[in-house]
Amino acid sequence: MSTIKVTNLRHENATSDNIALDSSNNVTTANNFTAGGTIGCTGDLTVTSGNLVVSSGNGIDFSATGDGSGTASSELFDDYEEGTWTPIYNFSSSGDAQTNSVGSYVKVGSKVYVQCYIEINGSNSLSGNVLITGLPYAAANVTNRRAAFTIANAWNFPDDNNPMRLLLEPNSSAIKMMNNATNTTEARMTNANFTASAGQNTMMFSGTYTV
Amino acid sequence: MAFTERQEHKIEIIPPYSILQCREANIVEKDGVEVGRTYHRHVKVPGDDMSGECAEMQAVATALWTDEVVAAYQAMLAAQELP
Repeated sequence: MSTIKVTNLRHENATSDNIALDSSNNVTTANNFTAGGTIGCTGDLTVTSGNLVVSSGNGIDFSATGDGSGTASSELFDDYEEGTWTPIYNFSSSGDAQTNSVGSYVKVGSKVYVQCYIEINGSNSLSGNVLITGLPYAAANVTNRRAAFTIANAWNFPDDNNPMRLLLEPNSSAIKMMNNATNTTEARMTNANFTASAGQNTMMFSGTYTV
Repeated sequence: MAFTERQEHKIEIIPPYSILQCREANIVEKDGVEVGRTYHRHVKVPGDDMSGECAEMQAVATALWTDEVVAAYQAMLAAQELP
């Protein structure tokens, strides 16, 4: 085995060098670098410009790290996304209400964090049980894995609905609104708890659910 | 210098009830080069009104949401109502 000593490598049809080698054992490529297998790295991996782009279904694998006492289902960080959604008051009989709202979300792995401001913005008639629809993702298909949301403030409701609660069922993208639950009823809020005119039933909430 | 805006829709089909998730990307380009992008998401479940959706969402819903799928989804919702 012998050593070939060069400082640059250039394709026969290229006008400049493809790869530069220096005396500190650094390797610099002039353009893209493609590896057909695993790239090993014993130091830090630094991206000085551009992004670390991961193909769909892949991510950052943390399986070498220690685990908690629960049963781990995944140690692959395979998704991140942020954006907006449009919360809408929806009534089971009268459908979508005229709604003024702002919604944002961040998805980290299988968890979705949402924030919402919502209020009635019109005088269309309202009838039936109420939902807040428009969530950015459907909740996971896992029995009894329900999500709750924290209400920061709620005002301009026609009656005292405390404690008002927000519940998301599995396989659903619609939040149930409930109040004053008893032992025997789900206590869904209805049009009776709403006022069909602009600026009413204003609420701010946030929460996290699993997809 | 010309700014243009276009939309891309990414549709995800969530088993077992063929729930449709749509991500709309609003993309701003300057002279054909992307300079900004935002996402807006919404979900449609079997039986939902699809009017107002993009043609691709309507086509997928038509193909997947048979009467049996819609009935199964409604039954699932009813079954998981809290007591």
